[in-house]
Amino acid sequence: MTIFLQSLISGILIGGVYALIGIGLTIIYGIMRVINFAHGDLLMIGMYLTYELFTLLKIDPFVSIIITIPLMFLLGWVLQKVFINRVIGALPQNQILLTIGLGLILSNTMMLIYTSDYKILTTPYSSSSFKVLRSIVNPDKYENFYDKGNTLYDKALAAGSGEKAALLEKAGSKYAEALTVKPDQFRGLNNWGVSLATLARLRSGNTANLLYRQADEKFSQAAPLGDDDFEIAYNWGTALAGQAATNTGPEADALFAKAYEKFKAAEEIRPDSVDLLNIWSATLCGQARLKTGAAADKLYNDAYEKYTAARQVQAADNNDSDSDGGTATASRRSIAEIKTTLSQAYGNYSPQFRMKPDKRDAGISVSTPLAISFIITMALTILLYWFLLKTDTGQAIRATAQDREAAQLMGINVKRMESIAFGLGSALAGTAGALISPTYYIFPQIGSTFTLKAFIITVLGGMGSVVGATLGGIIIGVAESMSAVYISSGWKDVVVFVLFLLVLLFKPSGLMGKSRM
Amino acid sequence: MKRLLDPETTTGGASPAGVLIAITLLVFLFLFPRMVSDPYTLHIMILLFLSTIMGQSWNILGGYTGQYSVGHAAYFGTGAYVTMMLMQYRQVPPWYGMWAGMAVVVAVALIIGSICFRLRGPYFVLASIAVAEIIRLSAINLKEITNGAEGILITEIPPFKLGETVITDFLTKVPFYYIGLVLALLTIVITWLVQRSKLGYYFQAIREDQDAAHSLGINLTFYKNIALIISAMLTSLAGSFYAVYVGFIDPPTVLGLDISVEIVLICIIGGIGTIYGPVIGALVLVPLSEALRSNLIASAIFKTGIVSEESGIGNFLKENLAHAHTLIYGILVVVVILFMPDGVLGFFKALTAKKHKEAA
Repeated sequence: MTIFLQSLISGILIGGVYALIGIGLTIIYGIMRVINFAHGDLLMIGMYLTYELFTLLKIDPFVSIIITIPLMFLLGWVLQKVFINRVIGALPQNQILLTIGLGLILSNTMMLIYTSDYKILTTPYSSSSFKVLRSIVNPDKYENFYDKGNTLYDKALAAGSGEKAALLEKAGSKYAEALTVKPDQFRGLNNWGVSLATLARLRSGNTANLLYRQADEKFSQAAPLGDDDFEIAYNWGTALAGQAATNTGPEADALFAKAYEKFKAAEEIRPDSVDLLNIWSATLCGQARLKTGAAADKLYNDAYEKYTAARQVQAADNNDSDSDGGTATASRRSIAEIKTTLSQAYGNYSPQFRMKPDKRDAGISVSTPLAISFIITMALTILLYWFLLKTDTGQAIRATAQDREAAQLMGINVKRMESIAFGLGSALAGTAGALISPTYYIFPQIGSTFTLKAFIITVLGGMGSVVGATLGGIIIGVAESMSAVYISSGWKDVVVFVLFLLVLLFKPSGLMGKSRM
Repeated sequence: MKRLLDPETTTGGASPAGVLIAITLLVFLFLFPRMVSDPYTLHIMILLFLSTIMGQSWNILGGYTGQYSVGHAAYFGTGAYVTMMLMQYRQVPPWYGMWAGMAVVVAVALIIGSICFRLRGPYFVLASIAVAEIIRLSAINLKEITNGAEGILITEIPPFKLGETVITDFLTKVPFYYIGLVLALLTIVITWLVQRSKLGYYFQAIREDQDAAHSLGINLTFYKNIALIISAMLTSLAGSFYAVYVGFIDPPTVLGLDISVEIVLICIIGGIGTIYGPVIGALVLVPLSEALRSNLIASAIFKTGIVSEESGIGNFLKENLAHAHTLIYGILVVVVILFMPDGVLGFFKALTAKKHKEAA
């Protein structure tokens, strides 16, 4: 389901750009009955224009369409006046060959200027993406429960002491459910352990002990699964230390020893964790308080060692040079001094557990540049509809498309409409080029791919129909991304071509063939 | 296209002088490798023959029958691939492989014909492109059979034997020259025969007006398919010849849209629907694009002294002109369509006709 929605959405997004290409071609065809085989090459020119504006003037590709649109309109206008104008009404094959020739000239001229190297336009957002439909679309059951558990745990931390326990219990049960789906997930086991240990902290006596023991069990399961995972070792040690604090005598000592083992393991993975050094020191401190004499002194010394290490790491992080003096005097300090320093430092210390973050792909990933380009595409399409439906020029264009002679009799300057139409088509192709330039490679021969796509889109929608081209673009975008996912990316274009042939054979007038614009 | 049937092109009426010129030219062509042994010159001649075969075979479908296929790379590439695959994986010598290639191409052509010939005008053009693209993409994706995008490279061609006698071992360009020459002559003769036959008249009737031809009882689909099969078989021969001559094929070089366009251009530039058109197209296109490719044009510009070789522009031209040899195709086709819609041949014919009128 997720994969389906994922490919549907990315198909629609790219389909928006395809629609823009298709609309340009269909307007040209509608007015002039000329199939523009240079359409993809106009798109390629738009890409290079955007590339130059970006590299030379640092104009963002999406902003640069303000410049690209009029320039491409002008190019289309000139091409129409100089070349296309001469073959209107000529044999269709001659028109096709002329535009093929123009396309060859455009692409080869660009190759002369830029060589055939691939250019990449890298914007900060070129490869970024964001997630939509996070709460609705979840990849699988495990992740679903895991996610719920995490949310509950976060809520519990923020909640008052009354609700805290209940929320933690709920979180625990979600992790339990998640792990019945997939028993070998160390992230789930770790977080379950954390929620148990946090709950244990709220309790006392036997209940706490039992919960700690359960947490211990979870961590011991998680540790071998999460290969050398810092968080698991850290949490495990912290939970053990907490458990030790609720016990007395040799049992407590055994637990302390176990906790130190875990801290040592965590230290090996990440020696510069302030949190780890702090909890370690605080734990040593706590154990020392239960002892007397030399044993206590030794523990205080160890604790102080960890304490200074933590300060050092912090200082290094803050580039604070003063702390060097502090460490130099450390060894000479008396136990009494150490005691006061430590009790000041860890008097109210309550160690935080570390949750495994939500690393999964909840929701549907949407490429940022594609999303922006889709919004621009839609805005332009609406603007275009408005232009064609409401303005005088737009109505004149539609009239020319419907009946050239009648339009001419009504006093419409048909020649001018043709130039406008070709300029408009060229501007739309150029805009499409600008919009895809952050996500596609830019090279002189990229045009032919898009020319073919543009034909497929216009034929699918019905030659000359703007609504059809919009629909056709989105259908082709979706068909492409669906077949890339469900068949293979190598065959996706074949699927599109087969679709095209089927439309040609069974509905050559296209989806919207009847209505012209 | 309301051109009436021109008696000069349809009957091929040969004057004694014309026959004499033709025979002299033939003798010259057959003796050419004895006089010139420079491999590069022979290479250019072979390319000329190849282009003639490609253009002439398209001419039968596009020129005489009026079906503008822009997907002839499908037949060119299929022929090339079948020949090369048989040679590489089954050790079948190419002179058998090319017949297999032709057989496969006929099957492909029949399928394409059944799809595309229901469509007319621009729709037919688009459908022919789509089918060729499907075949190209399949060649890329069917890696087990075609070796995918890597293509097929042969290092050794088995010597051509008849019985036990070795006729040629393909070590020089000379055998390729003769094969190319014979194939080019073959396609010209076939086109000539088609043009003179009843079949040719049916084809031209379809070109001039499909509906009128239909109402006269010409089975449109049948005759279009016949034209396609003849055209596709000859194109397949060109493909096999190209593959064996170059020794390497991959999807873009033998199945790409460029090849389809090039095939059409040869014909358009020379003049479609005429015997000499593709020959003239090849004579114009091949030397021009070779001159660009081998930087002859760049060095000629330097010799004139307009641009010095050491200057920035000079360096630029030297490095890039060779990459843009297809630019000349673009310029040529635009010039031809705008100023000589009947090709170079038609243009000069009209020019001489005009002079005749003025003289009279």
